[in-house]
Amino acid sequence: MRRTPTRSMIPPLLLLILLAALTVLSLCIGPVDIGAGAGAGKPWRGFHVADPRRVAEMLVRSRPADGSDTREVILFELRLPRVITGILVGGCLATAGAIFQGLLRNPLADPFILGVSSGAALGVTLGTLLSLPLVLGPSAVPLLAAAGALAAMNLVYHLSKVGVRLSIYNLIISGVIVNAVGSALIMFLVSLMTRELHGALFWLMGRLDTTTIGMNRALGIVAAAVFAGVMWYSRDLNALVLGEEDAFHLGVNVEWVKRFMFFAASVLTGCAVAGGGIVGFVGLIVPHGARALVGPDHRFVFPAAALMGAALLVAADIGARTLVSPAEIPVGVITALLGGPFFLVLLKRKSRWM
Amino acid sequence: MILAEELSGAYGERRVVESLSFSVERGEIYGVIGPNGSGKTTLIRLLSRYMPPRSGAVVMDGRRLGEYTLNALARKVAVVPQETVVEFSFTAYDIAAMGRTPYVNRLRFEDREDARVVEESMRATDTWELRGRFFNTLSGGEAQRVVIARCLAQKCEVMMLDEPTAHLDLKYQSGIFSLLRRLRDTGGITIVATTHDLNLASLYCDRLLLLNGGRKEVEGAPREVITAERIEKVYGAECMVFFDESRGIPVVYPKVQKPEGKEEKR
Repeated sequence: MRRTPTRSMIPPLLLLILLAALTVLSLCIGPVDIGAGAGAGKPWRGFHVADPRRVAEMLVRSRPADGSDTREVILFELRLPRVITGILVGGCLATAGAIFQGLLRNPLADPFILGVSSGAALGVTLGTLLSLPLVLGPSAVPLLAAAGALAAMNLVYHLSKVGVRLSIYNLIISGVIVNAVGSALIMFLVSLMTRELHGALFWLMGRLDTTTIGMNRALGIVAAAVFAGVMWYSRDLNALVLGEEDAFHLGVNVEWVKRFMFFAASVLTGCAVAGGGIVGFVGLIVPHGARALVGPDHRFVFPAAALMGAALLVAADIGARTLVSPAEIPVGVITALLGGPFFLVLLKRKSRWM
Repeated sequence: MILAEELSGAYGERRVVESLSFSVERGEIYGVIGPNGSGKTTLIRLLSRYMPPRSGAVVMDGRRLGEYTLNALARKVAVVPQETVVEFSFTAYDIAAMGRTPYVNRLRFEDREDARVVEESMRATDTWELRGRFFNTLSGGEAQRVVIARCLAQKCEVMMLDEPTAHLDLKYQSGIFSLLRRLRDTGGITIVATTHDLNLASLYCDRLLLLNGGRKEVEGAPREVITAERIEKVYGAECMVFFDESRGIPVVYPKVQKPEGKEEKR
């Protein structure tokens, strides 16, 4: 049926409300009750849920000048950057996943499975070993990640090309291999480091608490710009789902759109990895959810997937912080535990797609 | 309408189409026949600009194909591939509506006018009833008609089809060609179709181009092209050609071959 834009606005709107609610919850929850005054009540299982109204009030009052109020420092220096990173990482991964699935015409594609995340992490690790972020500043991290992601994507793409066709088997297998070799190289490089060792290892599992406000700003700008481009060509991707030849005959500049989309997905993956390390399977699960909600038209899939991915990651992060509170689980562990079984079910059910 | 001049196409070193010259008139159904590997699919790719020619040129309405923008060409030429496989759950309507791609502004969505064209196209191909079905659940004949509806939604002047009936059974085979003839008669659409079904070609095409190893064997009306001698030469299979007086067209039968070198069992 013809979809009217107004009717199609409803699912994204609902997702936006969900994301907002999860964001508020994420800001309120933690081992310190940032809402109450001194002498707050006992924590429940190691964490407090602050009064959202108090938190909202603090947000509206904006940043403290001196940092004398610990609760404000916690809100502005720890929880707010963390939830923003979560939104960015989730949104980027889900969009990258939706691009890969559409472009490769394969519902099993995902930045993690294709080894692109690994490449990004390798890029950052290599750069860190060479002290590039110290020389060039923190904005070098997303650049290194994007470079690594692009390199991995190119490698996997060329490995899986048979003549002019892209073999889906080869794609997944090359992804697994690039992933394995990438991880091994990362381990090797990390073992060459001394002081950063612990942090680097933990960061790789997918963490949201290592970023800074400056990093968030850099990631946000790049991700927003790339996402705008993705939306611009989303219609062309619809035609590409029919096959390259069909898309060409519908007036789509196939080579250019393909190149741009691979580039965009790699850069978005790079942003996600720079922000939160390797968080697997978000890019796999979320596009399926988005398509179930808004249908296969990429003009609607991308916004829905971005919002849903952001919401999923914020929710997973809340789980990561509270399940074994006061300790923390890397958020990548949670998404992998969710995504692994999902992948298997998909593989079993959709095996005719391979 | 379409003029091919000394057209050659190759994949790497392998030349598949070799200096072909022919012309397709506006409003005719032009059939391209030939055995497997004779260059039919490549010819469609060359004519639709999907593949750049190694040498020679295709001229459409007085302009070389390369002079058209991709979008302008998509408004003029639509192509139906042998088979369309869609992984995601697009409905038949979605697929037909993709024919509006060259017309819809990126910042806008399909408007009422686009919806009207899509409905018209689907009604013309008897696929309007299928509009809510998922494309990947349609039968081969239904899917092929939806793709033809997509071409109509492109408001094309020329429709090129590569083996449109290759995967279809008898009923749908003639159904597709009847539909094409109807579209030609009512919409004035020029049709270029490849097929290896000689009888369908003979029945529905105004003129035929017989390819042999990428070269033109002969071009003309079915009765001139399809002769026993020529078919045997090009296809390497013995056959008999009858003449259907009531329709004025030739009909081809393969000769039943006796198994060679085998003794009858007793």
